[in-house]
Amino acid sequence: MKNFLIKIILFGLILFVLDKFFLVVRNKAPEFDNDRRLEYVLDGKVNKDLIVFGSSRANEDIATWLLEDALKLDSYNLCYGGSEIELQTFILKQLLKENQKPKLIIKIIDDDFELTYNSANVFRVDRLIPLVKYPVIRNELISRGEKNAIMSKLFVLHQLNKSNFDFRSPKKVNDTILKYGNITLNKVPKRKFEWTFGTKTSYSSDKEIKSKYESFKEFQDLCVSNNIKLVLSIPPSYKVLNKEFAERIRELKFKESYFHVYDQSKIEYKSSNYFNDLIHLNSSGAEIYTHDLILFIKNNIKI
Amino acid sequence: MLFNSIDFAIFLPIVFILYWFVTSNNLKFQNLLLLVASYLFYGWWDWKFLSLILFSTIIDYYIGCSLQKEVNNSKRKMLLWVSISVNLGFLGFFKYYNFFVDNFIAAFSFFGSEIKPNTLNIILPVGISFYTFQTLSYTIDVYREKLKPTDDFIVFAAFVSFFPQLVAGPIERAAHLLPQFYIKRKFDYSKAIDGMRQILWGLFKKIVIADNCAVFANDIFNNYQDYSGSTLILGALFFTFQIYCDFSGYSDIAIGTSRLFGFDLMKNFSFPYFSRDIAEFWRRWHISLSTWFRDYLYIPLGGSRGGIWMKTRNTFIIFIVSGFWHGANWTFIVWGALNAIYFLPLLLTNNNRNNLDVIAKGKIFPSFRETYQMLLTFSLTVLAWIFFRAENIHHALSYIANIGNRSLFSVPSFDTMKPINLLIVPLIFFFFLIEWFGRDSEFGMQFIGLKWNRVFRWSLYLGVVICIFIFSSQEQAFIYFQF
Repeated sequence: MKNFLIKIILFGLILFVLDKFFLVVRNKAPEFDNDRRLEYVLDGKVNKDLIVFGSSRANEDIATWLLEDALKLDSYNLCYGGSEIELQTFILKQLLKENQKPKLIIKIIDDDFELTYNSANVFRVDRLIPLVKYPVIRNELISRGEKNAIMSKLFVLHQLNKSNFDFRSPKKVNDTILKYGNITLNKVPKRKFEWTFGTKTSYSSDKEIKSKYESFKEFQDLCVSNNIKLVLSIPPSYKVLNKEFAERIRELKFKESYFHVYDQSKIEYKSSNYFNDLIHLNSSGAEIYTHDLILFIKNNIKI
Repeated sequence: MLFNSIDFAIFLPIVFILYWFVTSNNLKFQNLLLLVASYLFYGWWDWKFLSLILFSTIIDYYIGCSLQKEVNNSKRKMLLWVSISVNLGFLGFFKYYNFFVDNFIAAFSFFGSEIKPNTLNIILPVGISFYTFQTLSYTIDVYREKLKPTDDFIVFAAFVSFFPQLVAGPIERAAHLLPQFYIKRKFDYSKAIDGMRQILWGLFKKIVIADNCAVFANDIFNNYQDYSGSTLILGALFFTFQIYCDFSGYSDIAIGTSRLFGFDLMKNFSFPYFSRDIAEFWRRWHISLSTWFRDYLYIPLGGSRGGIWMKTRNTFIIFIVSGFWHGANWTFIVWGALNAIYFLPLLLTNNNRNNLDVIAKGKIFPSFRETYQMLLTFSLTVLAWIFFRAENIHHALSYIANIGNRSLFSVPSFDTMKPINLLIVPLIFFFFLIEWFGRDSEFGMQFIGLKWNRVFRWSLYLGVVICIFIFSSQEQAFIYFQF
């Protein structure tokens, strides 16, 4: 028995020591990531006046450079395709903790699954994995059950994931993305879409997920408590607006927040020439929608 | 509690220390500790279902005792049927109730009668199929007077709930496992080291191979309409490795853990993908279940004695029941029937016991003939696994049809095919090599590296542990837990 225990302990100790060499991998991992925006947030390098939050719709529907030009506010887009409100709230918290507070935040709403389950919009853990060298990221992964607290303290290897071992050089990023955080897509759909006029227009709050609902409130709460003006905006989809959902957002909106819904009378939003696909605008559509948003901000908000 | 969880990594050393340092002088205390640990292990998942195991244990314990005292044959038979009814009753209710209700409704609606569905929201208790069969083997053996019943309730309860094999086997026979609870266990260094190696290899198979193959298999099976024929074949291959490494990985961890406590469990897998025919495959795949069905169903039905009709009937019964044991879905029944179709020609031509020894024994490479036989058997198995993995029969048939319909000779491509994910390919190759060279032993890594210098041997172990760390994601339940 003694011999057995000595060998097991010795093996464990060797593993423990060897494990520490993987600190190099952990600390170098962000350098191999294509998208370094969250790293900039954590390093306090995103000191902007206006920040855009949202999923892929905030990426493709918002021309951030237009916002900067028109509002004369240093602007940056922190959208993450396929992300949901919980991730956006987490990023906002880190932004406020490490950077200068923005004056204005635009939060693009995913109708009509902003608060309900949708397999395409998740807490993008993969965006956090390259940044495990930051304790706040490790803690978030632990709190979400992705990693174990004790093991994470003991072993660097436990903090890592196979994607941390992808040592290929990151792709060259477009200058516009580097400056504004996003880029709209100059695509015209290959085929004409059918205008899905008669589709879903009902909404049931019973299906809302509690954690998303709480995050949505927390997001607004963070803006209010930090004296940041917040615009919640529903962008156009290639379908009729779900008015019940829009009403629900209006109901959940804090009195300090502003709520903008795209102009449904605009003929462009009914033409497939302004869309990439059924839920994303192309560059031309994004410019029109961003202009609408600018007008709304100028008319309603004093910055 | 999952074997691949942090909870188990804490639980196991604590039980090990208590077992060998606190209770080692008293067999009763050791057995009691195993019982408490086993109930804790199971209750970690859902303590409410402990009552089911306890109830089953009490019933079978008393029936076992009564069977010994009872001399009247019809009363003995009645006692046996009480045990069978209670055990299969629980299994039937929790596992098959909704399946039968749904199918009755479908059958009646086919003939024009509408019946209001009355399905229940039933949670399947983890491991019920395994411990039910284990307790049944006890009562049947006592009834057949092949086994003397135990009068020690703690021993019997510990046998039923023995935590290493409680939730996914191997399904132990009472005649093999129960006597081990009576013998004073002595710590055996080489057995414990061997157990640790087997646990390590089991974790590698589960966490590195199975869970990472699952990423591809799930993507391809869920989106099969979008993929080429070659990709669909790859998806079936990934599932083939996933199911084997998942289940045999569990068995390795279970057997290895038992060895740490001085117990020997039966071998459950013997490198089935190196089989030269389907009969050999079934002698090497889920051995504890196959032999259970052989002993308690196939032989009582007449086995392979009798004419062609009887052989055919018995073969189909055993394979279909075995398929149905896996789950309440027609896919498992078809999977079982398909294997019966594969097996039957061998049985009817008396070729079912041709390949009893390990393939290419004493050689590095198999002969051309053996390679051909092995590839053919493997291909048949892969085809059958499509039914096993599919959500329903339509899914399986469409999947197979799409293999033929869509660019079969194109380069496979799928959404999850990222360079970093493809690191699994060399690891599958490594796993394959270890299994091939270890095919004559109890588990793949049993003798690999034993003759090496300690530095190289420990480097191999460390490499395996590092792979386990790097390739682990969130704890994934073992596939066979759902059965």
